[in-house]
Amino acid sequence: MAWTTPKTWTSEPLTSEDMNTYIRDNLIILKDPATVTAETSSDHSTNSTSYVDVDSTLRLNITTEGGDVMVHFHGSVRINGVGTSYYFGLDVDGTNKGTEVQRESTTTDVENPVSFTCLLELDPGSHTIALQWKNSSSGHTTLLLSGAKFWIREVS
Amino acid sequence: MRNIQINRQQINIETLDQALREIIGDELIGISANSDGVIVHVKNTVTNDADVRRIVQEHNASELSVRQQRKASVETARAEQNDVLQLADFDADTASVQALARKVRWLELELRELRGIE
Repeated sequence: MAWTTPKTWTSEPLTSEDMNTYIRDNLIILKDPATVTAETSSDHSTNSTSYVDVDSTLRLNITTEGGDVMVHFHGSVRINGVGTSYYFGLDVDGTNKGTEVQRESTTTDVENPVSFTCLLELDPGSHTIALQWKNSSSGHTTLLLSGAKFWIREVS
Repeated sequence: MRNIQINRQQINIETLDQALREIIGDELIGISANSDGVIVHVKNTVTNDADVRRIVQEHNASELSVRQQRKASVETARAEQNDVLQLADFDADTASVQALARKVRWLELELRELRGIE
């Protein structure tokens, strides 16, 4: 079922066909917007200094009816050194969109919560959005603990 | 960038990184690992995939890097320090040694407090 741009009624009979198309069907879509979620079930680690996918399961496909989608990620991260930064960002349809969150480690091997929420303006249609990460230095390893959550929901 | 996926579990990224850099140098972008295996991220100019795969397969995850060995030594030393320095042990020493012992004891207590060591 697709979103239909609401009709502007003028002086005309109100038909059940129009009500179903412009009111019922659109309300159904608004009540249950496109949503995709993922949760990691094992630890992931990297020392890559360029953005790479965290995991293939965190590369999500969503088909949108309208424009914006809200993207959220949260998890626990540990890094085995001091002075190295880790970065999380998004790849949208094959293009990395830069850094959403960055943190420099000030203590070694301590778990820290990391999260971000952002709004992406997309054209209606099918999109692939992947969580990516990198390190400022290959000398240390960043570990994302099992149980990290990543979700996308259409919001307009 | 290109990814070389290898079915291998339990790696030590730090030492594997060093081993791979010996053959492909700065063309290595990094290594990722999860329960599905290992992904070696390399520049597109890398052509010796077979060497990369061989090094990953032959990698000994139990070998520690210099930094990891140093960290293990600190952890061993920490585990051996169960008792706080006793000032009474220095009663027979000179005043300067006793002053030094008090300073060391103070530092030890501060460190235990910071690290939450009982």
